[in-house]
Amino acid sequence: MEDSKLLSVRNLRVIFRTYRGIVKALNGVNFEIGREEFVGIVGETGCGKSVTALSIMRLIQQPGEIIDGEIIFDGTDLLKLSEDDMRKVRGKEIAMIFQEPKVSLNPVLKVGTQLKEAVSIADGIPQKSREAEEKVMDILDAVGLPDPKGLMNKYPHELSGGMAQRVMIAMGLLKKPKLLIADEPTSALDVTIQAQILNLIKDLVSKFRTSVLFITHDLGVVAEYSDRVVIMYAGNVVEIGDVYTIFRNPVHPYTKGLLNAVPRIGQREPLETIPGIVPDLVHPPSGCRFHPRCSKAMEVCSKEFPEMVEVEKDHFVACHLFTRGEKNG
Amino acid sequence: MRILGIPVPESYKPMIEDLKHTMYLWRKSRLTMVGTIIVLAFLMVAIVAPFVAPYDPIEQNLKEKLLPPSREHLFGTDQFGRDIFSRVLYGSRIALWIILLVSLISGGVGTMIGVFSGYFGGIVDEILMRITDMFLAFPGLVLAMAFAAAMGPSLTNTIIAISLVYWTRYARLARAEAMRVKNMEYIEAEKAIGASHLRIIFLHVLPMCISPVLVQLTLRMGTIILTAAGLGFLGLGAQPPTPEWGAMVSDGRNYLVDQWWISTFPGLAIAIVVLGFNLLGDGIRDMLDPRLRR
Repeated sequence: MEDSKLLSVRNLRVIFRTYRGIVKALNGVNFEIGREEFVGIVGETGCGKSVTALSIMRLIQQPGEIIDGEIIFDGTDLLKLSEDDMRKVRGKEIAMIFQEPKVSLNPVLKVGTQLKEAVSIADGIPQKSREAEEKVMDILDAVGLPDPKGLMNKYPHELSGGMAQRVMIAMGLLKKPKLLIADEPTSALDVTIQAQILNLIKDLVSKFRTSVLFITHDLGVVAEYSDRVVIMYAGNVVEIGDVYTIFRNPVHPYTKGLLNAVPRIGQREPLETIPGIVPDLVHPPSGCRFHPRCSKAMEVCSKEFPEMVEVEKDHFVACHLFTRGEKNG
Repeated sequence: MRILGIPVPESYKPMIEDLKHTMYLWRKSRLTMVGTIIVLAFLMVAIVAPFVAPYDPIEQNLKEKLLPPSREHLFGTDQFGRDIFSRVLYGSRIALWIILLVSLISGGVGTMIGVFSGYFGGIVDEILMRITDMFLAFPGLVLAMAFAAAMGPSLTNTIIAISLVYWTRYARLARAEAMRVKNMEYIEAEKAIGASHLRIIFLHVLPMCISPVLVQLTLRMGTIILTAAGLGFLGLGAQPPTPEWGAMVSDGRNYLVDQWWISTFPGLAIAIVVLGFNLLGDGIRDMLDPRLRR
């Protein structure tokens, strides 16, 4: 059972030491990704989606710090690896693509140079060799970029956003990694390009048998592409389930609120919103972090932190409405 | 072809046009032109000195000592009968050598220290920058004197001493630039594909830090000559009979009232070359400043 999971994140806690105090960015995050699974993480701005992704890559920078937890990837705890060993994991086992493709490329180097550099880091073949060049041409072809040869001689500013993101995807998938982390890869792109890029990612990962951790705040994208969904709120995972369960039968009040806040075609009534704003993570609310905004808050919610419970098979939720129910029943 | 929606002829090459504009700005500023001409002349003299100099700069000829400027000896002769004109010409080579080596050493060392400091930050930064502070706490010439005196006077030691004093400025500049660049997202993307720190530093951070350092280096060339001449004058630089300008000025001190030419001509050479470098440096800085460009 354990072995079948590619990645399992257990009780991950990350803090940022700032002048205002300690920001508890991740407060015990738990989730798993299976092999060849497409998992979407959804949540509001500042709920810890990107911090989770960067923690998995171990790229959290000062003043951030991982203070507790385990990140088991393919049987090894990434948090226990030396920096050198971790570097071998990055790019080869786990790749990452970023939100802003155009600033993720060095503006003063040609696209070809940067791709060849990635090849030489991954495979140890010389950057200037013909072999490296051929590999780059192949992968550029695979991500659907016409005229790879001409493209390699271009600088990043000569590319459109969509082209640049394809280049980044090419760079990420060069070594056929086991896991691809995509941190809002389409937020900076046009809607029409978004679909192309998402389809491309979906095609390539099924071809390369790669798992995907997809970070977004766009529920539509998640519904379309994910196998499983992780809902995060203020540094906690509040609900996990497969995509049909989450969208048809959400149980956590926050998930319900999120889904109600999506406009539907033909809808006449005003859009429902979740009252209040995301809490300040320097002084997070006691107990369940969602309770000040929750319409179903009870007394226990402000006192105790809700544990994750399985409400039905493979559908987990962290809410006192269900822990209570279990105890009583 | 269109640029910003404006049709332009096919022959329009933005980089060439930009270069043309730079050349125009260069010609327009008289002071920069003066600086350029002086520096070019200085370089020319350094190159052709052996062919132009009428006498050996070191050979003594006591029969002709302390002669005033004349047709045979344009700048006169010193107390050992050496032709001052030839010595001034040869001195330009030594000055050029000092500038080159000091720029290379102090620029290289400073940039490396600054880049490492800025890239790694934290305790590395703290240690390197406190060392830099220690060097900055002393007046430049005094510190250079101390180093030169401690290592023993010679041309090589002069170069080392001056480099040891001047690297701090480049370290600070490169550090600031490295701190800016290391937070760019492409550096994070680079880390995400598994690049090592050294690769990131040398291929992606260092190239970004070089241009401000280069500008600063050209601005500092005049100062380097002055410092070298100062050390030479104090007897801590190149040793006689090397025709170093500072040392030559010092040679003529005792004869200043009656044989003024011994000190005056090398002194003038120092003044003119430093002026040239400063004018050129100022001009380059103005040309590179986007606010002053148009």
